Amino acid sequence: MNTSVNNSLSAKATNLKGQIWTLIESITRYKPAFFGAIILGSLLFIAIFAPLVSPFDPNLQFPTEARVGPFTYLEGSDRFVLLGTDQVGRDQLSRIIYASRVTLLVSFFAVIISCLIGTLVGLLAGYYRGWFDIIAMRWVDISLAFPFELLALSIVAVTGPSLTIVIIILSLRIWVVYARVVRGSTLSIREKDYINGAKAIGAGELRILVRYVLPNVLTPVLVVSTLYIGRMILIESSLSFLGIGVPATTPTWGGILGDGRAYIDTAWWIAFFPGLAIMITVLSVNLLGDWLRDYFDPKIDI
Amino acid sequence: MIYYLLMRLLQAGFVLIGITAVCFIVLHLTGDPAALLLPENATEEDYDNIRKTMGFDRPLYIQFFDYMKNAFSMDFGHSFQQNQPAFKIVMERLPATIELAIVAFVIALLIAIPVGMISALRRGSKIDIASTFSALLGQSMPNFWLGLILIFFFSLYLDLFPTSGRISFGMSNEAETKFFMLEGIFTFNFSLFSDAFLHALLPSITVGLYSSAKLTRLVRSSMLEVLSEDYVRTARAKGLSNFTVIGYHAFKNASIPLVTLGGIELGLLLGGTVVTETVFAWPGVGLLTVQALQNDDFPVIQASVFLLAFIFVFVNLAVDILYAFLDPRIRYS
Amino acid sequence: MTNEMLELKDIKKYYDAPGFFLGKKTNKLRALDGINLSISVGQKIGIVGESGCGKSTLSKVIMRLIEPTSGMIKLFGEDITSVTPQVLNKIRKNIQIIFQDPFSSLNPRMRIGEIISEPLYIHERVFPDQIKSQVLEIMTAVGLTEEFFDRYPHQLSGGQRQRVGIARALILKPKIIIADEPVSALDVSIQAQLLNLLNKLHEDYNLTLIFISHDISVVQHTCDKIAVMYLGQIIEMGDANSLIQNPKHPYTEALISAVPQINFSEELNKDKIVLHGDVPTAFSPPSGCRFHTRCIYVKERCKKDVPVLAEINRAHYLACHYPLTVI
Repeated sequence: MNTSVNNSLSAKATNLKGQIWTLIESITRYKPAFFGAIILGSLLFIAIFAPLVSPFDPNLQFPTEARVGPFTYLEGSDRFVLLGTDQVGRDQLSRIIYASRVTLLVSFFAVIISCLIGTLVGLLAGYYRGWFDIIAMRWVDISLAFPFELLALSIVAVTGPSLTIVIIILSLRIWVVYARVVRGSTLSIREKDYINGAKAIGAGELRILVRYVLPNVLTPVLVVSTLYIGRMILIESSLSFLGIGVPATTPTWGGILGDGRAYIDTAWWIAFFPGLAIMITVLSVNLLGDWLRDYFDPKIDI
Repeated sequence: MIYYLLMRLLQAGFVLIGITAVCFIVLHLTGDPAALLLPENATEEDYDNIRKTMGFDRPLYIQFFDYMKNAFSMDFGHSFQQNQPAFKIVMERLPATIELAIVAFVIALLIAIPVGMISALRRGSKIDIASTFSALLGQSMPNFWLGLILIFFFSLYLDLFPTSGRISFGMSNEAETKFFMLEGIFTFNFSLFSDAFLHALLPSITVGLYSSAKLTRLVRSSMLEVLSEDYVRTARAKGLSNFTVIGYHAFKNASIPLVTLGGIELGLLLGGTVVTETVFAWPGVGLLTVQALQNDDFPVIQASVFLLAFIFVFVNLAVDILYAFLDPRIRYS
Repeated sequence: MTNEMLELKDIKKYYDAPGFFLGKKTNKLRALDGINLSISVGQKIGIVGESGCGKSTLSKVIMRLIEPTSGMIKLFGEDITSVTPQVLNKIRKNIQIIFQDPFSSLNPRMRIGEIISEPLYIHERVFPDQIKSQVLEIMTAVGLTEEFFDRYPHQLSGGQRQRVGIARALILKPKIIIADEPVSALDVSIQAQLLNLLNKLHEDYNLTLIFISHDISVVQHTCDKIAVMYLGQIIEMGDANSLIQNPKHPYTEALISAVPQINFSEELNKDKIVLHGDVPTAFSPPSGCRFHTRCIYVKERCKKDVPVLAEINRAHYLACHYPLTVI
């Protein structure tokens, strides 16, 4: 009675392993995204294995070797400083390597938190509609119009710079994007027959939300995440640059840049390389995010 | 449409109240607002005085109403540094920021519209790929880094532009208002204008680049969408010249999202100026805020945050109203 | 009466049209306007009608996936119109539904085995190894081999997906199955396979079948009783064969005549009955007999008086002022 079925996975497999393989296949074909993926992978590696990768201890100061240019060998401390030293003689390369950790940490946590909150709100608003939906969407609209950087300024004015505050502020800014996107997806999914089918076989609300709606909403969530990581890195580095982000004791790319500002005429490399690092990272993230969006659904409105 | 506008107005109102509330909360976060509002060398007597006059011992909701009242009548107390009303100081710096934002916006549009349109028309060509990539690059760059690089290269190395400030020492005497460039144009004072403009060029590019990148991509995708629509084919079939078709018909429709997002960008630019003003020592509201932060001058911080937020909300509202006029769908819904 | 498995009494479902002003009378969409139906054990009843006549709404109302605006639903003699969700859930074990669109009726993120075993997880605390054997049993009954167990819906053809839908509906061994246009989205050759399957399952599992379709030839093949719907009302109902041979309602006659016949000589001799006009909107149905605007036999009375569904023969119901006579 059955016709023989094609055993190979089709191009848009929906199980996880198949998806990952087709994803990898596709990335390698599209050069820019591939480039982005490689860079990000390396960054992740460097950040995690910073102590192993970094040539020197980032905190060791050698005041006599301050503001030395890149590609120099220093006899005093027996160091080859690839990117030069800063105003107190610390090796720039090591500082930048260690600072990558903060950048990744902050954006990672901010994305996770906003994703969780935003997806939950979006799901509930889209599925149940009613007053929750109305209030939530008003809140989203207002949030999108709200100047969060100013909020950050005023909070930091009182509390002083802090890593947690930065993460919280970033999350507050971003969760609404998730909420909006998830809500949109949920609205279209809840009309589908398989939701009716689930109700018909007696599935409870929670089961429907978790098993039937949520897995089908994850695609836009992924796309939003990759597209917004870049922005969050930029915002965090701006705050650190101004001195109101992560406290100065922890090196971040923005912070190092801020330090280097005073020396732009004598030691331009202090400010140049961290900024370059930021740009390359954000570029890679954006390349990857753009490609992901095109792969899954070019019409996503973010 | 009235409904739409009313809703937007209401929203704007809510945002303003929200901002006031947030400032209020932040003020009381540490528990002792008096400590924030008084400079370091205040005496016990000063503390008692301020507690009485500000009424910090009253219930919070009464304080909040009072605070709102003060905020909307623009009373934020006195600055520590300069012993003048905080709001006055902030307002003095506003023209600088506005000029910066406007020039940046104009530059952004001057780049975005032509480049975006050409990209759309020559889709897939080398120009398209190059400009798309540049746009992506522009959106990946931290603007303060760009500013520093520009200073380093053009000001220090090539000595083409001044490194900081708004106007050369002594020139400011020539200006009556604080709008140096605009005044220079309108009073045909060429030296004033050119001096101010040279000072403004690098900062404006820094502020405007991110927006120009974003807007370029927007123009491009909007044009692509419009170009594939049937009415473009019809216009061509009617025999209209390519220039008319593209320049007028296509652009008119493609520009609707440009207006909305452009307007929002303008609002965002105001926030973005904070960083650039710091880099270029541009005496605007942003720099004032940062300095106030470093000096713990809380009244000034409050005043500038509120003012910037207010302008931002106002610009958004204006954009929404403009959008209602441009998009017939909103008008008749 | 006690033989009746399912009874619908005067079921109405009205939707409010989106109105702009409060207080002003808004138009109502009359999706179902007084449905009376009773179905006995083991029957196969077909509900036929064109798009918009309300048959899909009816199928969902029976299961209370959509709540009726008014009227009563009786299952096994008990009123289930307003029972609590908990009770309803238990009742749902007895009625199951197969959906029309094989592409959107299965969760794309669940494997076939999981889809079919869902009802078991929800209703009965059965152990995983027991579940698998039950699922495989059902899969064999609907004609799916074991290799489909771990596949995803997008890897199956339309016909295979419908089989999965049937399996999912069957696994709790319900007494009633509602099939909402189960073959409309499939190729004709597959349709035949699936219809035969449904017939076979009806026998093997002692099912009562409610078969909904817009295609009267399909319904004739499968069912022993047919109800014809038009604009939210049943306008003729009776034994399948006699209804097809001797339709008494002009609309039924038109539906039957629209079916293409393979036999050439008969085809050339018969005049097709072409209804003029479009189906009126369900917002404001025509006065009197709803069909009068398109009826080729329309008379004055039809425009004014609403015909009531009445029994004209043994178990043959009709709502028409001027029933057709046998030619």
